[in-house]
Parts: sequence; structure tokens; C-alpha cells
Amino acid sequence: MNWTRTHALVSGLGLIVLVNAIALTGVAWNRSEPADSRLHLSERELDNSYSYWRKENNSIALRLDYRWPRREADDNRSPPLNAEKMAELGFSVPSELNEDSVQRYRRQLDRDALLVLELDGPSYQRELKLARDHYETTKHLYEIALINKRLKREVEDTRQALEQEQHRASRLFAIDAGLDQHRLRTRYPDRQRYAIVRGKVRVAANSELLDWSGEGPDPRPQAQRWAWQIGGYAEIPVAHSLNLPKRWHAVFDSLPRGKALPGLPYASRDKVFTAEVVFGRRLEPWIMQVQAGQP
Amino acid sequence: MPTLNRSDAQQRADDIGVFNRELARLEAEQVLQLSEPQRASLHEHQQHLLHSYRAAFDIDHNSQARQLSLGMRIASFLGALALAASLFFLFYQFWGLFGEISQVAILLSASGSSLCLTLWVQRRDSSGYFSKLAALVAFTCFVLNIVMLGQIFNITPSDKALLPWAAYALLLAYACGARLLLAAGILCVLAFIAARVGTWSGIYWLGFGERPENFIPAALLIFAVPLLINQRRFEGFAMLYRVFGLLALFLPILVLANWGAGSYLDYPADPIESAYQLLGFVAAAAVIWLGVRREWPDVVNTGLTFFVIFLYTKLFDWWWESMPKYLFFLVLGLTAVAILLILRRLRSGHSLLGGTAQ
Repeated sequence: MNWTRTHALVSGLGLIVLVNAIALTGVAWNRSEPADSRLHLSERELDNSYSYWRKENNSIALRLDYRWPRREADDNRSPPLNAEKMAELGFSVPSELNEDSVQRYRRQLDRDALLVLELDGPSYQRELKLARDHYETTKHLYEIALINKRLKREVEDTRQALEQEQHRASRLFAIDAGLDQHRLRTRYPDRQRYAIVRGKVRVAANSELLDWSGEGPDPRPQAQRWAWQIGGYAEIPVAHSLNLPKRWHAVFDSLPRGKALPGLPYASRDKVFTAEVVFGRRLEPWIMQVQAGQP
Repeated sequence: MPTLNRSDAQQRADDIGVFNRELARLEAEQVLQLSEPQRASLHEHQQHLLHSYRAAFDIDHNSQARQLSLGMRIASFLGALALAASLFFLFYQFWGLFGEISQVAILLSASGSSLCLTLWVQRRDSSGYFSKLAALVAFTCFVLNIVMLGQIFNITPSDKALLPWAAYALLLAYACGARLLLAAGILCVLAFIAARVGTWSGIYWLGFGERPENFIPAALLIFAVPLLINQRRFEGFAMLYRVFGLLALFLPILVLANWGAGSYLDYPADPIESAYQLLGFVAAAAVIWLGVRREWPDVVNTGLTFFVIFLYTKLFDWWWESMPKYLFFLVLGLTAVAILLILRRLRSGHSLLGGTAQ
């Protein structure tokens, strides 16, 4: 073996060991106490149904299923992060909204940010209340006009939506974003309910047609008929796949399946479980424990 | 020749063949006649050289061997890709059977043992085909090592992984003379520098591709590598650095010349596109000039290719809609003829550009 080969061998092995050591030290640091937060999630928040190329991959990964609270009762088009929050996250937000300024706003690229996830908290209770109110209102309207078929179907739909919200929908909500972990933790001190995670934020802008309430054809120029809404969305890169360690595979395989609910037309075949997910010092999650839930 | 590589050895062997054929012609035409001692001495010297080259570099000793070598290179390349893919799916197929500690141990030992295997094969394989194949498998093992660690421990994806991948690819490339791995290493370096340039302005690292200008500093650096570090011992390495550097320079310019909105510059798209179109022509012309002057055919060809692409793109913008199609393609054909005439003039008057006339 000449010098070059020896040199290559030592350098290569050194690089392999060094990179693994750095990665594993980071993992050890992340998992050392105290952890940043611990959430007790269920199959509602940890999705196991994503089976892309499972035939070729026998490991088990769960997807962290989180939602954004609705901005208004009937408004699903507003971006979940408003313009003020986007400015706080470092985006340049125009003071005046027009075609040109929105175009410039849209050109901005994704940025890093910290997101706050809330488990079974006020946001979920609000969603539950909105679903319940919607159902109650529709039911009341139907009781007044009994023969309205459309209302009858709507009552059934809203009842199913309420059942879904009560028993199956994720109770995990992304409720806030920021750049300073300490400030976010001060604002959300309950570590059993609020997890802070790393995310990426992207800009979003929608336009909405403003109603014309006057008489005759709308005289407004095109630019004045539309109202711009700017804000942003965020996503959590590690949420797509949380590795389930081998020691929990046997438990996971023996988990009971969900039963059909009386109010819902289809039965969930998801495995029913609860899992303790810990978010460490580097805000990276891992699954600490899995146990069977009540089907 | 202290820095002889396979290419030099092959060139010398080819020269010996040409020399012998010409010598035979001269002797047949009775222009030159070597004495027996001279002939024996010449033959002995040539055989000694050829034998040492075959032992050291596994050179092709005739045209049939050369054709077979090309086939072996293709087989080695395809085999390396297939083995890398096989390894990738093997890991995933049986991954769930192991605990975390076993998984880490497997990843580490796979990386380490594949490196040792590569260097062991390299010691025995003078042709280089098998060691290059093993080197690509070793690189795949290392890439998988980092990717799988990220998956096992849910590590947030980061551009920092590109740096050890680049270092490892370059290490294997230089150890085995593997150009494919050099290309992989250069691509990792390009992506890493572009991502870093992007993150300095606050963007999420994966967004680096959405601002093509991020690649330009990395392109200049890659192009400068063979000027700063002598690549004489490594066949084709300097050419790869130059070509990848130029691709990383011209592709962003080409994209921005047609998509001004992708620029960092906060101006309307039209003037940005015009500026990059102009820059494309100037840079391509400068690169052709540099290539001719430094006798870098790869640089001349890359510059010329992009000059033609810029020209044709511009002609398309101007005339595709307004001209009848037969006229448009006639203009393209005449442009190609004009380029040929200019190149012929450059070839005949090579010294005008400062190069060495042949």
C-alpha cells in the first residue's frame, strides 16, 4: 500500500467517523434532558396510512398530522399567517396592496421559522364549537322548513363533520410562528400542550372579488373590484416522517383497529394507539412510547 | 515524465505505433534504413515502454482493445449505477428488522468496509474499471449513511450534509481517478455553496435553486480549481472542473435571460432579461477567446455551444412569430454557416487570438 492509498484510507475513515460522530452527538444533545416538550398524541395526530413504496421499505414511519385554525367561521381562503406575522418573520410586507406590490411580495422565497403546535387546546375547542354551531344552526333551519331536501342533506353533512371533529380529526394545531424560541416558550409555557418545532414559511397572496351592491353594471375599474389578502403558509419538514423505532414495532403490529362510529357512514381502519412524542433541545422529535388505545 | 497519467501513456503508445508504421514506409521507399543494432535497440526500448505502460495503466495496445475498453467503461458505469441502486433498496427492504444501535453500526460498517474494499480492489485492478465501480458503491454507502441517520433520528434536513458528501466524493475520485465521482463531488460543492449564498440572505436552504444567481460564485470557484491546483496527474479532471464551472455559470445566465423574475435584482423582468442576454453573449465570447488562447478545447466547445444557444434563443424571440417558418429556419441555417466561416477563419489565423499556431 503506497502513501496515497494509506492517505485516502485514513482520510476516508476519518471523514466517516467524524461525520457520524457529529450527527450522533447532535442526536444525543437533542435527546438529553430537559426536553423542550412532550405531547401525548394518538392515531388522530400520527397518521400511519401513508403507504408510498411500503412494499420496498419495511420500516415504520408516522406522519405528524397538524392543522391550521380557521381564520373566520366561513373563510378558508385567507392564508393562516397574516401580514403582520409575516413581517415579524422577516418578510418584506408592502404597506399598500396593488398588483405591483403583491407581485413583489410573491417573489420572496421561503424562510426558516419556529412554529408552535398546540395539542387539544383552545384552537381545537374553537373548531369543535364551530362544527357544533354549524350543525345546530343547520338543524334549527331544517326544523323550521321540514320539507327542504337540501337542508336535510346539509344537516346530515354537518352532523358527520361534527362527529369527525369530535372523534377522528387531529387535535394538533399550528397556532403561532416566530424567530425567537425563548419568547415563544414564554408565551406558551405549558410543555405538555405546546411544542415548538422548526418550520419553513412561504408567502401567499389571494385576491377576492368585492361585491357590487349598487344598481346597474359595476362601474369600478378592474383594479378596484378585487381585494388582496397577503400572508403566508408554513410547513414542518420533519413532520412528514417520524421514525418508529424497532422496539415498538411488535406493539404497533398488535394494535387494535378502530371501530365504526354510529354517526359516521364508514369505519376507520386506523390502528388505535397513544404515543408520547418528545421534542428535544434541538426541537427534533422522537417517539418515546407507544401503547394501545381504546377502539 | 514524473506526472504521467493513463492518457499520456496511451498517447505515447499510439505515437509508437504511428512511428513504426511510418518507419516501415520510409524503409520500403528506401529513404531511411536502420542498422540491425539500431533496430534491436529501438525495439527493446519500445517494448520496455509499452510493457511498463500496460502494467501501470492497462493501456489499449490496438484499436480492437480500444473499442473493448469503451464497452468496459460503459459496462462499469451502468454496473456501478445498478449496484448503487441495489444497495439503496437493500437498505430500505430490511431496515425495519434492526434496532437503532444495529442500524447505526450497519451504516458505519457499510461505509467503512466499502471504502476499504474500494482501496483493496484499486491495488489489484490496474485497469481501474472495478475500482471505480467499487468507489461509486462506497459513495452510495456514505450518502445512505447520512440520509438514514437523518431518518432514524428525525434530524431536520440541512444543506450541511452536502459538504461531507462532496469531500467524500472528491476523496474517492482522486484515489481512484473516477471522473463520475468527481462530477458528483463538484455537484455537491455547487449545491452547498449555492445553498449557503441563499441562506445568507435569509431564505430556507432548499430554495437556493429558485435564485439562479446563487450558483454563479460557486461556478467561478469550480472553474478556478484547475488553475489553482495542478490536475496533471488526473486524466480529464481539469476538463471536468472547467466544463462544470462553465455549465454552472451559463445555465443560470440562460435561465435569467428568459425568466427575469428569478433574479435577486429588484427591477422589472424585461431589463433584467436583456442584461443577462447581453452578459450571456459577452461571457460566451470571452470564454471562447480564453479557450482558444489557453488551448482548452472543452472550454471552446462549451462557450461555443452556449453562444449558439443564446443566439438561437434571441432569434426565436425576435422572429418566430413574425417570420414565415421557412424563412426563420433559413436564417438559422445561414447563421450556422456564418459561425462556421468565422470558426474556420479563427482556425487558420489561430495566432490572431494569441494561441499557438499548429
